Amino acid sequence: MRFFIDKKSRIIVHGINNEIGKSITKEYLKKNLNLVGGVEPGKGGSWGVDGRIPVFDSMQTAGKALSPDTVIITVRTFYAYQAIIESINSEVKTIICFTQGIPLKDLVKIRSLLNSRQNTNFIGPNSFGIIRPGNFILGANHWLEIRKGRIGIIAYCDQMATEAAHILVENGFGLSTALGLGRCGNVGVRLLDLLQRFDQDPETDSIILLENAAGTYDQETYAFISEIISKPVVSYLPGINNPDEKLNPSSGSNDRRFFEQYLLKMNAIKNAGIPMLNNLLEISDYLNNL
Amino acid sequence: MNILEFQAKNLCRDYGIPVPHSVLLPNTKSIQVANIKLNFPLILKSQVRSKNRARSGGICLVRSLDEAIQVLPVMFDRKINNQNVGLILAEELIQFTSGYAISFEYDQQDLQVKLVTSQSFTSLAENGNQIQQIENRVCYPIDPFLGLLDATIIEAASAMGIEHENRIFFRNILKQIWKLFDEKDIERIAIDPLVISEDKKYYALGVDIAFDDYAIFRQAGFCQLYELRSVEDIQSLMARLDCEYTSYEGNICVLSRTKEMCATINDILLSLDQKISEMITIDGEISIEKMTVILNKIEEQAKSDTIIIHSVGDQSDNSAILKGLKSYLLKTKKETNIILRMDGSVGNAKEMENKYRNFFCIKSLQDISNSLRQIAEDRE
Repeated sequence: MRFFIDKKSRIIVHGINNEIGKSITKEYLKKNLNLVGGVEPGKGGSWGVDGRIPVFDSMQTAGKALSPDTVIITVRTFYAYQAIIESINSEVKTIICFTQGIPLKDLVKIRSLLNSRQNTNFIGPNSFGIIRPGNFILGANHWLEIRKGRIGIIAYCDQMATEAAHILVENGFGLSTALGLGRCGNVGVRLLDLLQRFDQDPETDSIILLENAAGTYDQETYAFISEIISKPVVSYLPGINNPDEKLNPSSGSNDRRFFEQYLLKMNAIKNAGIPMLNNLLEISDYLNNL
Repeated sequence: MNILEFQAKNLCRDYGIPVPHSVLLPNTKSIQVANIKLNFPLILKSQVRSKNRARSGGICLVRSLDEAIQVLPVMFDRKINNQNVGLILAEELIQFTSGYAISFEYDQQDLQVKLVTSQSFTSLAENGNQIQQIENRVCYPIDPFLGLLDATIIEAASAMGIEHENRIFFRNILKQIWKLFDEKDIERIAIDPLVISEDKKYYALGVDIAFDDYAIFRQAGFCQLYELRSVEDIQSLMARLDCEYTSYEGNICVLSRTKEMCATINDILLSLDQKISEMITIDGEISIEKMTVILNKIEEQAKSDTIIIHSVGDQSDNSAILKGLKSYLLKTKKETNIILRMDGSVGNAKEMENKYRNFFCIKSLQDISNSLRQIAEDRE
């Protein structure tokens, strides 16, 4: 599977009984994704979503009974660490974490565990999902408005990705795939790996990389992009026109380290020779000139 | 979130990390208490969050009670980095032979936890200025599951040139700092300097602690520390509303869910020769009341003649934003222009656009320029 899941993927929703879990489960059933079960501690043995989906107490029991290949984590922040560790240990291939606000201490532990599990694809936390118009939409409803096309988007922030997709559609382009790495920075899947997946995708012609201020983990990979990726890659870093600490809205207001990371990232992209947009509206001009 | 120095030192004390004897002064009169409890000379430290406190006159060495009585009113009146000084920490002066800088921090770039040591330390000169020396900065990655190992401590002690006789104390202190860092969900704790006094005792003279905001749900005492933040009025109000507020020089306020989106809109504004005046990112749930308070506060600040509100993604947010806007527009007498970018069902927003002349509902970021042009034409 090029983009980790497809319509046949056996999906489990971890946190199926909470508000987000319930609503997305209903949506996924409508969108004809293969949802096979849910996990909710203390609710094992019951049936969720109008009695259509079996609910298990833990990932371990759900894993044994249903052999899922994808877990979507929607649990509340307090339980997120436990849910993620449980999912990693159950050896599911793909974990997509929608939960946001996970403490740094937990993220560090998750990253450390993922380093030893090379076969687990972890996307998130705070991911907006994987969107393939015309194929499947694993994300919020507003993505339904986006037309299918041949441009790929890798983004950290849902809102930026949505705006970019709208600009594409308004200018006669469309979206092949949008993938949300999560605003906390990329904990699991490597950026270069993702770019290679887009590069090999016959439905994608160009790739838009929408960066965020933090999460400079993949900084060293920028240098390889021009060598390894054959399709055009263009990036946008919010706040690029204001590389002054006080004026840069991407920098943390109290912590200089955020701004230093931002500068590191900006320089790494520039030095790698990846074209950078001055603002998001320039996407259409860039694509028209290709 | 950074806490104040005295709060950080209290935490250290709770964890058995030695800090100098001190008294917190809420006013000038309380120096009498310090006079009884402490021995002169004292260092007076303004309790504000600023890296360059000493340069702004926030740290002062006093040798006698008379000198302290003279200096204190000036220190209380002085604004440091736009912050009022509400508290001053009076601390005994420690004479030391050697000093080090130690920090435990999460490296957000590599998602690793690290021990950073160096022989760089900040010391206080006679005139109250801070002197910083930097030498031999070394990072030691720590396994988040195993914690701080003795092997790492030994390696660090050797690199820092700590004498054998002092290593047991050093190990114990490092273990305690790690315990505090790990148990309290601290994002960064820096002890700069950690000194060895003339009587061979360790003291943490400077302590800087930043908590991980995301870990607030499992740290009960965190909220109390948060309330003691000494920030500007508007920022403290916005912080209570789960918002982050930043002020700039232009005339357009941008309000969004994420900083990235605010920055994206700012880039577009710059390409249109427009400047941002205020940037507000809203965290947590958006309610009608919250929205109304934010809009009223923006009006009160009188910095912005146009507000751009961006809300894409959450339908419940959109509904609260629209209702909040409606209630604000009904009451306000000021003609602030509002540009709203919203997705999903925008029926109500369109109704408002027809009703209010200075209200613009846009379908995409591309329409910002058209709206601003229209605002400029209307003004003319």
